[in-house]
Amino acid sequence: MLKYLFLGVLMIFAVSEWNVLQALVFVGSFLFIFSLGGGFHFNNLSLGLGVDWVSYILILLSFWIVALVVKSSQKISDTYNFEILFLFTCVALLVSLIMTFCCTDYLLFYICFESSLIPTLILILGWGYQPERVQAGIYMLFYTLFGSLPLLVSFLLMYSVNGSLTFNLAAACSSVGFVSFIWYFCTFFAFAVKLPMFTVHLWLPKAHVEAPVSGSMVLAGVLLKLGGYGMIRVSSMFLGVGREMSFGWLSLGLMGGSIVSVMCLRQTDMKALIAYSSVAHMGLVLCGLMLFSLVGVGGAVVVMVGHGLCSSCLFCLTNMVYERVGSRSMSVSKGLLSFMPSMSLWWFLLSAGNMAAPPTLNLLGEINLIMGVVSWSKSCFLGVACLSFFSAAYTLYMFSTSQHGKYFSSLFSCCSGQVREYLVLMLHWLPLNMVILNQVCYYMCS
Amino acid sequence: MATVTRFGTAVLRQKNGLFRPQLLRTATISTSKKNKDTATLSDTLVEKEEKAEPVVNSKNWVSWGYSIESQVEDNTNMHLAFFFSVTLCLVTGGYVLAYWPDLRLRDWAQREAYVELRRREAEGLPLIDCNLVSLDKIELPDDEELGDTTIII
Repeated sequence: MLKYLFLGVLMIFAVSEWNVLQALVFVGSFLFIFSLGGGFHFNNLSLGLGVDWVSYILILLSFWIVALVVKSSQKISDTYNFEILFLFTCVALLVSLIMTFCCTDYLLFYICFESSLIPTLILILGWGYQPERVQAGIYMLFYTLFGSLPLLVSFLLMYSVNGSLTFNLAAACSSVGFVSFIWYFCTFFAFAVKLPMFTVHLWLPKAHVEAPVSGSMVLAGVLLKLGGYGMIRVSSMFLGVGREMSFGWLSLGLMGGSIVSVMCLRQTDMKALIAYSSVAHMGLVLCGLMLFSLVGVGGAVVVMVGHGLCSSCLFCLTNMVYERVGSRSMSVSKGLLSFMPSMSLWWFLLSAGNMAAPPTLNLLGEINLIMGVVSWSKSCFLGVACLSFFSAAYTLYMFSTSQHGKYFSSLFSCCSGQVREYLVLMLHWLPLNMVILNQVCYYMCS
Repeated sequence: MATVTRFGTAVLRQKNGLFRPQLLRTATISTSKKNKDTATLSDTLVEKEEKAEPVVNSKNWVSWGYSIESQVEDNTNMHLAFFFSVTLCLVTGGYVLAYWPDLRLRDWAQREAYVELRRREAEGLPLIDCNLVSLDKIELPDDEELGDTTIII
């Protein structure tokens, strides 16, 4: 695993050349494919590093999304808007993400988890568009830090009690009592904030909306998955308490996801709509993770990957509209079917992916999650039905409002879509739709 | 005075050419070669400004999206981008992922299942049994030995 970290760190020497770095990140993603085949347990073990099935998938996703982030931020290079610093920030983010997903020690995981916040904050503050980005950055930073300080205390307690913080070697918390519950809550709360769960989700619409396209894509694509990944890693420590308390997370995930899905129907800002849809999808992921079953965790991982590709692509599409129209408002950027007809194909395909249409990964994951959640408790079918129904409803709303109807009268003309933009969209869409044909998706379902 | 200093530094920062000699005429002691041609030293000391070579693009070229100024750079970057993303990652990477031998030991597991089925058919055992180990091989402790031990099923 160290070789991929070295590749990541040494990319810093290529930050002065935009195209070289783009190619390098793709090369990194290609080379990483070859460390497949390890199976369920940790493999490619190194100094405190190792990958298992979920780490592998998420590191591959990180490489892919960061490559597409660089590709879609061409405007920064064209307008000479601190492009070297931008690439340096992207490389720093990539390295911290790879470290987070491949470490085998809880404390190192915590340090890398926190360190991925800094490049994200720099991206939002440095290349965001509105003055509200300052508040958005503060919200993101302090929500995450507030959630993760108890996590640090929990890990230190774990070390003093168990003597080890290595992933599968630290002994589990076997008792089920008040103190265990507090310990469990402190550990999981950080990841619930990151995921984000419904009640602590306020940072996400702000951060996603105010971030530039690079920040939005990497936030939706990979950073939310840090929460899910963290939950997978720490849940083996708290099996007893987790079994007792999972109803809370499941309820919040289902009900919160349904409420947020309805809120999506009220949005007028395209990016805010996609941000709230991320909260809804992650609510379902939370439910899946808290089921502690193969179907649940497998489905959650598949939805994480599918959502990462789909939401990242939707943010990319929104940015393409924003670059031409100058507004994210759905009352201004409407009727785009007449305005940019070729782009409508991609709006349609990605909207279909967002509402878990076949043959996307989202469908595979949602089927697994619905099966898991309903088999956990039959009364959950209402929450799941609301979530799925409203995800289709708001996606249709987004597609119809942005594409159908008469275009806004003050729009004059624009480029219908450059080849570079279609390439970025295709690179998101193809893995999302073609992986289901492959044995790799069984790998992802564990 | 302060104004001169403050604005002067700003001007100097912008106009670097103020310090660069542009034209210099000197009268040196050494003599030139004895020929009829004359040449002024100033010609050799003038720094010729390197004119940027004009970028030649085809008429009415449409950019692929990688560069709006140079067609050659745009074309090169397009080829690079497509090669590394599509050819390398999607096509070659997809081929590797699709044909990875026996991922997660699924084929091995199926072969093992057939071997086990053949063994059970040969021995007349039920093909599938809810007990992994036959019950006559398990020795459970008596109630006296168990005492107050909690039993979790």
